Amino acid sequence: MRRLPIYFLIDISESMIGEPIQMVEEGLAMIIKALKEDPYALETVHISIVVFAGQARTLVPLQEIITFYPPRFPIGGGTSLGNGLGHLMYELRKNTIQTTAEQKGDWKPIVFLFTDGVPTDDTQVAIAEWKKNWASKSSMVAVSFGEEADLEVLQKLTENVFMFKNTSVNQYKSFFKWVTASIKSSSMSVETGGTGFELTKPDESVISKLDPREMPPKPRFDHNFTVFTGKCQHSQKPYLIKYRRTTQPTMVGGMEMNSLVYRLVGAYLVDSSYFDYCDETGGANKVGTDELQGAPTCPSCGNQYGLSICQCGKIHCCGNEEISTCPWCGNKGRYGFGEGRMDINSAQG
Amino acid sequence: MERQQRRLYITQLLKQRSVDITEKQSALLDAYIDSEEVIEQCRLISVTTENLIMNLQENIALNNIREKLLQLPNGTVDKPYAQVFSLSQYGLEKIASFTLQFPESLGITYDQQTGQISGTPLDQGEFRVKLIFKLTNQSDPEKTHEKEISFVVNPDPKKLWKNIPSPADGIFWKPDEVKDAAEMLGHKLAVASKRGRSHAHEGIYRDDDFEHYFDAQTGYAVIAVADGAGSAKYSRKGSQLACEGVVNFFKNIPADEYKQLDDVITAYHAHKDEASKNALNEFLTQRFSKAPFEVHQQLVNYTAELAANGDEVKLKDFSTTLLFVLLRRFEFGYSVMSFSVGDGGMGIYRRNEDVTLLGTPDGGEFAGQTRFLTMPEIFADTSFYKRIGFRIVQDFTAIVLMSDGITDPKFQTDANLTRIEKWDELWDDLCGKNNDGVTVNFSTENENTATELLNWMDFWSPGNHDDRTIAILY
Repeated sequence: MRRLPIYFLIDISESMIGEPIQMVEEGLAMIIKALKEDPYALETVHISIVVFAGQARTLVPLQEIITFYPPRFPIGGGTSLGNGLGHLMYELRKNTIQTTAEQKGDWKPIVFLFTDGVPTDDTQVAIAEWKKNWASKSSMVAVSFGEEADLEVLQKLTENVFMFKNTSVNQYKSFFKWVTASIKSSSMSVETGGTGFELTKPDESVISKLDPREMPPKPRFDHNFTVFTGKCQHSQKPYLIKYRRTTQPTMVGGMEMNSLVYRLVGAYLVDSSYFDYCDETGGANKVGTDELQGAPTCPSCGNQYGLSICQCGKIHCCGNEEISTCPWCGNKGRYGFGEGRMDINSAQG
Repeated sequence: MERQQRRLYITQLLKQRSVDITEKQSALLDAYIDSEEVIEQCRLISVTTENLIMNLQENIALNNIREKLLQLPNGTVDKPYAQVFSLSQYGLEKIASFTLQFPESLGITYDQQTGQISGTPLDQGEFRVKLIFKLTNQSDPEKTHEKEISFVVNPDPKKLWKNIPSPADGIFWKPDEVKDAAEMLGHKLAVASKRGRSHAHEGIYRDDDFEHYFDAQTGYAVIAVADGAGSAKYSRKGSQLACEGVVNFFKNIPADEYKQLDDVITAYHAHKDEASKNALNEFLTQRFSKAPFEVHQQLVNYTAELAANGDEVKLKDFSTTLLFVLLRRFEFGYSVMSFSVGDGGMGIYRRNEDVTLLGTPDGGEFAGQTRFLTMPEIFADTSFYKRIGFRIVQDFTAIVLMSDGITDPKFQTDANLTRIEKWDELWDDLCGKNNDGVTVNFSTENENTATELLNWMDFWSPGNHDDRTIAILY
């Protein structure tokens, strides 16, 4: 039997926290469930999941659908696409069975890349290696989650770049249906003498293909979201606070102008594997507290103030206790409400 | 609490509340902490604090256990399942005792004594298994906690394939499976052709075909197998026309011409010199090789006829491979002339001895790169003559012609087609050495060889569900 390897290379940077990563988790489970009912896919498709933030890891090693069970996705800091690609190529090198006189090798692997951001590392070397060694030996589909991904980088990797408007649960469902259908038709195609890579027609209102001849619009911002990393005073567990970037009209000196504000999306617990996926070398952007709208409670212990800032510049939660201990630096102190503006470090996204 | 602790506790408490105590009051405190009321209250405080801490620890431990994503290895419906379940494999240390509860009608049980999960899942889907457990050092020793573990039971891949008959009223319909038997050259021929699972699943037609013919008068026999291209819409007709065309071509050769051929072959066998070689070559290139060309031409004409009637058809729609042999038995052995275009394989097999492969399959690196009889370029090329073969053999176990629906699962690669071990494996497989316990009896007395062959072709091979056709002269 010849395998049809399908790789998912998934961005798990902080901006994916909350709905996007939960939807990807459910989406992958949905894909597997659907493929299990398809006799072509069940026998030929093998799946692997590689995730990347600042660091990249293999979340699910290449395996047949029958042994696969959906993993829980971690979240990390940074969007190191270079590391992600590097790790993907390592997996491809390691796993791909070549055709020899004795046996027939794998069908051309298919890679689905999902990302929502701009790479925080240098991608040139990885892209050059990809083009040299893998671009012709595999089929890549790059999908931008939302409009903020760096489409120019994606277009360097593949001509199959898609934009996915990920703003509602139904759109996610429709998106993963498209991925499932494309895998199914590819697995059928290998058995009926086709090329083994057949994307089905997507619902244009949800997923649109970018014309490789057209230059993509530059993203207005680096990210749609800004994310802060906090730690619970009590449980020591890390959590992420996510804000969506938006503009709002303000009067400046009698003139109406648009100013940048961040609106709270929510606070989410992450497990300590978060730090394994962070890129420690990356710098952080500073965001002023006066630009933030809304503050979360602590998602771990329920403390009233999830966004308290220690002298060390790190974020933790505070409750009614008189003396708080910073879970980052161990500093003890009384907290009051700060006046005016303070700059805090956002995570890399 | 001991007296010392009580004193410490109360003085700390006072200090925290900023209540100052003078020397004089200190003596009063000593008396106070010995009062029965204070002793009792301190005991309560001590118990409450202990409980508080214990509860908090229990909660943390519970929370950690509940947060863990637990999954049992997947099962398959109707397939025995056996797994040992241990806490350490999931990193669950703080559990003192536990049991697993599977949904009742699933057919899976957990044996607490051995830690073994076993049974045969009766149903497919994702199920919730309850882990019922007690924590180590929990405050209430009787209390049990619950956590759900997900357990996936996969469907049986074989049962996912549907078997939908092809529409009998459809254009160019032919039966989804056929078998045939014949006697020729003092041997028997069994041949079977069956629609692949991928076609059965979609309710579409069998694209493979075969045909055979033996003329007792001339002593010549023809066996042809063809495989219509999956991507061509009328390839089922293409393969049928190709096989019929070949047989008709050799039927139409006059008897005296076959007589001449007898002489050419006999002379070649006796002398093997330039002159007899040339005479044989002449026959092969001038006469024998006209068969595929004429069949190609028939397909061209057929397409033109349909097109003239207003049908939208192209020659490509009839794309098919073609393998055939022309056989004759002599006193000195058997002459075998062969022609092949496309994939599949044919060979003269001598059990545990050797195999003579007739023709090299036209296979590319990727599927769908094979050659078809409908391609005019196969005739233009000088490589055309490499498609023609001639052999004289003393004897054989079998002469076999098969479509790629058989060669792909049984040989995997073209290189393996030349290996006698692989042919021996195939023969053993046919003779019953397989997981399905299906045997084809090649004894000449057996009347059911073709039927058995058709049954044998149901063999299971993941990812290989193309149409299957095999013709065996034994």
